[in-house]
Formats: sequence, C-alpha cells, structure tokens
Amino acid sequence: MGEQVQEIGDRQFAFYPGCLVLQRMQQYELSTKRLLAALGVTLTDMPEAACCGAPVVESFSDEWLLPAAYNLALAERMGLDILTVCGSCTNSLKRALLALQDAALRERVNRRLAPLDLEVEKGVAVRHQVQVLAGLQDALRERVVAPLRLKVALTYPCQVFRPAEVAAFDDPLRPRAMHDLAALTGATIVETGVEWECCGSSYSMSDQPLALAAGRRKLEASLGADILVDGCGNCHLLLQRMQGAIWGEQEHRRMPVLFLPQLLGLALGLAPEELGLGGSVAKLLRRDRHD
Amino acid sequence: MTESTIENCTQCGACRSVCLAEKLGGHTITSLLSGGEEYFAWLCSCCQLCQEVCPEGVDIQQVIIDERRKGQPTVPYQRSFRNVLRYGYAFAITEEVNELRAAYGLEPVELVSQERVRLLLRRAGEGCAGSGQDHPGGEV
Repeated sequence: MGEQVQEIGDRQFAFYPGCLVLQRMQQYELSTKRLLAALGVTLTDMPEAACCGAPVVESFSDEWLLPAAYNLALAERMGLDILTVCGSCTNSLKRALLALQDAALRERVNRRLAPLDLEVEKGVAVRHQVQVLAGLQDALRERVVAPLRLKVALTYPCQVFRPAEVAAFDDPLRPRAMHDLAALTGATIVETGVEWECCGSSYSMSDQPLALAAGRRKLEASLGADILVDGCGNCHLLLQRMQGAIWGEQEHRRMPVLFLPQLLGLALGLAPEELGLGGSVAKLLRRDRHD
Repeated sequence: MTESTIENCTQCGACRSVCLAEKLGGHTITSLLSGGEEYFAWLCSCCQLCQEVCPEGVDIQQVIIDERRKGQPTVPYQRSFRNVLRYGYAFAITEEVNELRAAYGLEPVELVSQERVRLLLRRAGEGCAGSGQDHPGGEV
C-alpha cells in the first residue's frame, strides 16, 4: 500500500471537517465548500466520520490508530481522497497512512474494522485545503473578479507542513503556499517574521495564559496588516475567538481574522454571507472598495 | 515517523531553541531533551518544529506520548478524551449541530454512532480515563 496521489483534475474529495470545525466553525466549512465549488471541485461529506485520533486519544492509548484508520477506510469505500481543513487532523491521518504501510499492523487494524465492513486496502490520499488550492492557482487567477486592496498577514497551519516526511508538501520551515495563494487576490502580503511559527492555540489545553501570550505574539506581529488570515480551526480558535481575552483592556487593537477560503472567495466575488462573513468584515471591505 | 529514539539524543538543545512555549517561558519536553529536569509533557502544541530541526532525527512526538502516558493529564485533555470515548469527537457533538448547520445552509451530517466508537476504542475505553497511571494502553 502506498499513498495514491490523486491528480487535482479528479476534482472530487471526501470532506473531513474534524471535531473543532464540525462543532463550532461552520463558517470555515461553508467558505471552503463555496470556494472549491466555484473552482469546480466537489466536496462530499463523510457520513459517520469520527475524531482523527491524535493528539487526544494518542496521548492515552495506541488505539488512536483505530479511529484514524476508520476515517481513511470510510473515504476509501467512497472511492475518494480526503480533504482536510485543520493541521492536526491532516497530520494524524497522514501519520496513520504511513504507519499502515506496515502489512502486519494493517492486517490487525483491518480485523478490527471488519465488523463495520470497512478496510484500509490501497489507502487514499490526504490533502489539506491549502495543498489542494496550491494546485489550483491557475484556476484561481482566472476567476479573480474583485481584487482586494488589503494588507494581509498570514499564519500557517504548522502540521500541514511538518514534519517533512509526513507532510511531503512545500518547505517545512518556510512554506510559501499561502503567500502565493493570498497574493492572487491582489492583496499586499505583510511579512510578520512569525507566519511559520505555531500559533500556540493547543497550549490552552494545559496552560491558558501561555496560549494567550502566544496569540498576542502572533497578533502583535501582524498589526501592520488590515487582516490576519489562517488555515486551521485551532489557529482560528485562539486568534479570532479568544482575541478579546488576548487583548484584555486593549480591545481597540482587535483585528479581523479570516480563514483562507474566505479571503480567496471574496476575490472571486462570492458574497460575504456565502463565506460566513459577518458585518464588521463587510464594513472593512467596503472601505477597501471605496477608499 | 522516525526510527531514532531518545537514546540518540545528544542534548544539543536545538529543539529547545525553536520551541515557542520555551520562548514564552514554558518548559516542554524540549527542556528534558536539553538536559533540564523541569518540564511538562502535556505542554506542547505538536507544531513539529522540534522534530524538524533535531539533527539526530529523534522521534520527539513518541517521547512526548511516552511521557504523557506516565503522567497525570490536564483536565482539558481528560475531558477531551472522555468526549471522544462517548461521542466519537473531542467535543460533545450531538444532533443539535445540524440545527446550527442549517442556519448556514449546510447539509445535515450523520454523526458517528456510539456503537462504532465503542468498537473502535474498546480497549482505550476500558476503565478510562483520566489518570495516566491506569491508562489501558490499548495495543492495536
């Protein structure tokens, strides 16, 4: 079994939202689906998809591999490669694919999946949205109808790029894919020097003040931009949802944080509500258009 | 996903020098790998930067996992683990999520059944949860 690299031309993926986006980031799922539909890519939901297994289950049990393999097997039965939207799920599913190249382990796992009439046989490819979009730059460029005159800072989803032997995509230390994609919108990219650093969101599972300090580091470095753009639910959880706690009494420093497909979708002329964008960002964009 | 283990660590400190938590004053597994004694294995975002820069290619992720399973998990990790065992997700996701989806014009999703979750995590779930000391291991 080896990872089958699907040609982007196939243009169809099983959509794996992961726990966080499924629970509370409908805007991310919506904007991802609308953007990719506009680019001719079909995303199909995965009925009964479950947690990817890492890092939560992995921190307690080797059985983390079971839910990961289960999700891979669901997609394999659908005959589709998987599109992910967060860093952690991407890394977990890709690591599981590598682990399952061990025939003996795969056999043990498949015995456990057999009662569900599922198995990992050939394996499917797992691609984070940024990786899929990176292969669609020509299509994106052709469809930009509303160039954005915004200054944009970026933050990369770490686990989509590291470690290199798992991610097998872009530069693990200084990736460029999001720069290239964001630049297609006409926006000016503001280099922050920390775009490749972790956001620190997961620290909130063990040290909340440290998570807020990490978020503040990232946001302060990005203040020269109009908006910050991320590509992972975990980053968004800290940098957007917890931004009030990060700034505290310095609330006036708050900056809008968008998901990458929201930024790209705007440049393609999709309506803000199709991208799950609220009034405050729409206001910012009006300023952009009329300045 | 490397074969190199903690025995190959030379305590060069490369991992610690790139660790964001360390830069912010925290002490992660990279403190241990750099010869320090004060560290907290549950403090890590899995950003994999330490893994990427380790000149010996030590499987640092595995070191963290081994240390976590020996120690006491934080309350949020315990809660997330229990959620996975009960709901199949790290959060308590129920059918109500489909009402939220409808508000965004998203199709309803079929959530994973508890029966499937029990089947997938039958050993991890035994006697669960919480203390690293009595974690079930759950070899696959």
